[in-house]
Amino acid sequence: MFKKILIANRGEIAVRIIRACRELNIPTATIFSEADATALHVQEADEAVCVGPPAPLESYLNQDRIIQEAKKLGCDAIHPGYGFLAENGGFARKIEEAGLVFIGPPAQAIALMGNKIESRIAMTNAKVRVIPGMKASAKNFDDVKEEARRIGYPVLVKAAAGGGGKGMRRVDSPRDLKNALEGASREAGKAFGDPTVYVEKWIVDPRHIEFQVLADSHGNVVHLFERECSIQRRHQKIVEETPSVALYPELRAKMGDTARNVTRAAGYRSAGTVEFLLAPDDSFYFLEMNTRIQVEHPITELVVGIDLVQEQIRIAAGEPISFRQEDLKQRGHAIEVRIYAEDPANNFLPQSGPLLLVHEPSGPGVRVDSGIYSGGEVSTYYDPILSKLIVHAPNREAARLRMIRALRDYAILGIRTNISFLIDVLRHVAFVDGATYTDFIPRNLSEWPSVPGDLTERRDYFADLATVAAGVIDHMGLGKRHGAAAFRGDGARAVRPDPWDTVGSWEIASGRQG
Amino acid sequence: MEYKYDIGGTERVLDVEESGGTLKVTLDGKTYQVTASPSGECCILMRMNGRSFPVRFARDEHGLHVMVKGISILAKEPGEGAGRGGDLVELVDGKQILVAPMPGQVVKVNVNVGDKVAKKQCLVIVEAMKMENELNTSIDGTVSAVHVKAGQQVDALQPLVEVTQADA
Repeated sequence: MFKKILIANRGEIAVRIIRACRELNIPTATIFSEADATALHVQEADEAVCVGPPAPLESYLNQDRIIQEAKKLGCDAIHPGYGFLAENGGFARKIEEAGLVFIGPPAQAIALMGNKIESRIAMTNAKVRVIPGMKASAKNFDDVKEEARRIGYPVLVKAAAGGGGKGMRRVDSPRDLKNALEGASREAGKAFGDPTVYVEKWIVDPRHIEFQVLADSHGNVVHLFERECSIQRRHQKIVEETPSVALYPELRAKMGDTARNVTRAAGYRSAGTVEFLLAPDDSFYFLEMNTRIQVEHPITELVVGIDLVQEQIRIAAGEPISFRQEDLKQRGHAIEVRIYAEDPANNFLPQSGPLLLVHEPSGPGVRVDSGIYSGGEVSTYYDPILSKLIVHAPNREAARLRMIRALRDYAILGIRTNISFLIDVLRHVAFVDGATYTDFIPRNLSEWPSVPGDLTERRDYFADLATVAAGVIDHMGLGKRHGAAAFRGDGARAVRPDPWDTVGSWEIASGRQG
Repeated sequence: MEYKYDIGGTERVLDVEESGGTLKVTLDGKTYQVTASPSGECCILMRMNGRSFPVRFARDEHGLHVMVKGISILAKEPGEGAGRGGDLVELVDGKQILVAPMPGQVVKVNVNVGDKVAKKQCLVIVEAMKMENELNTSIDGTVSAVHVKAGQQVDALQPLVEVTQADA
């Protein structure tokens, strides 16, 4: 097993990996940028080293510096988390060349799956069905236009190097094609350093179903069932669940087998995810393989009872997978929501600023994978994900109710978050019915916060109570002494108002008044 | 005692009266009988008609942030301008000023002064946090000022485009 692991990431996933290492008795080191000196992952790791200024290119993406620090700190392996360098084949290769272990797949598998066009060709050769469309990059506009006409509108413009919804545009008619190609290409160039885009058919009413896989260096390949990730905004998932309401045992087995075939065809090792689009007629298409641990991995962990990050570390250390396919069983239902600093009423615009107060929910079947704390700060430099809230219960409805309960108990104050929006997703009749297609949000909640009566009523009721509470808080004179200055003046330790300081002898509840 | 707040651009007026250990709070003609006590840091427990509501709150230079059951509000002093946590597309005197949500780069300006624009139309694209953010107007009107051009770096809350409401 490894002597010490360097975690080349930040936020909730870095914290998650540090905890997995600690439970395996492996010391950890982490990197941080100048913007993250007091971040939660820095607090949790055994050692931490600053690798540069806030801009990702100069810190979290600074490959040579990261590898150099890993060697200096005596680490023999690097875990990349997700995002940043997780799916960078060149980084994996450099780590191996430096004599360290990359906790992830082989560089060739990353490179193959990292290029959507090449992976489409490889999977077609392996007899796996892919979405109809181009198998070459969009160079000549007239050719693209012809191809789009051939496969039929609507089509989807996608970045060859894409992922995470960046560089993607739906196009409904030929006159929008040029703009979409330009926009997607521009975004792809900035996000991935590769402006190549291509066009494929837009599947109508699809569900996004993905299969978790594990492969070791002894030839064992298993799948750990599906995750349904249909609820997305801006092509990024915000609610995930397992099992999927759309699968039944035969279809699940068929898709699971296909996922294992994809994994083998890619020459894969480590934890990975095979994504499919499932059409309403139960036909399914290979979409892509994510060659990393994914944001939504916890729902699989809860339902199959396996720690995927620990398994990933063991596989990287050369150990075989500790169980067989037939040992696995899905128990109960799990749902994850992603808590983002964003404004759901305003195009989901990312938000940044100080976190005045963070109170996280707990209770049976509730897990919070978090990267934030009261007094912390959400920076403009990084992805605005704050944490993930995951629940596990015996069935879907119980999990749904548990999630609503937990969300109502989650307080993040200081910046806007999507918490109240997520409550409405979970309470929406379409979610209750399992009508979770990838256009769930545009179809059901595009006018949010104006939505069907009872959702709005409930939200307005609690907003009124919050307004009443504001009056009560001011009337009691709470928090007055700690104004803006206290928060501003003490950066990292940000003083929180202490009601007991200011409440004096005022105690209405008991009826006594001083 | 009267308390006035600006909540999401709407003025809300509360009347709070103490009577015999409870607070009588009137909001929009509706009266709430409340007992309240501090409960730990940044939290009060509010009881109403036998039901309990933990209320979490924090104050900063923008106002009082309050959360009840997953719904949070920012109660500002009336008359305070747009700020972080405030509305980015506030409507003042029939004019809407679109501001940058955060530091970033203007990728594209879709309109010129004098252009007629419709509700939900994208006026400016600002790139920040590696994403292109489309900034839309929420009113029908005419573009009365354009303050930025493509490629320009902008600070948070920097005005980008102004729209004058159609019937203003």
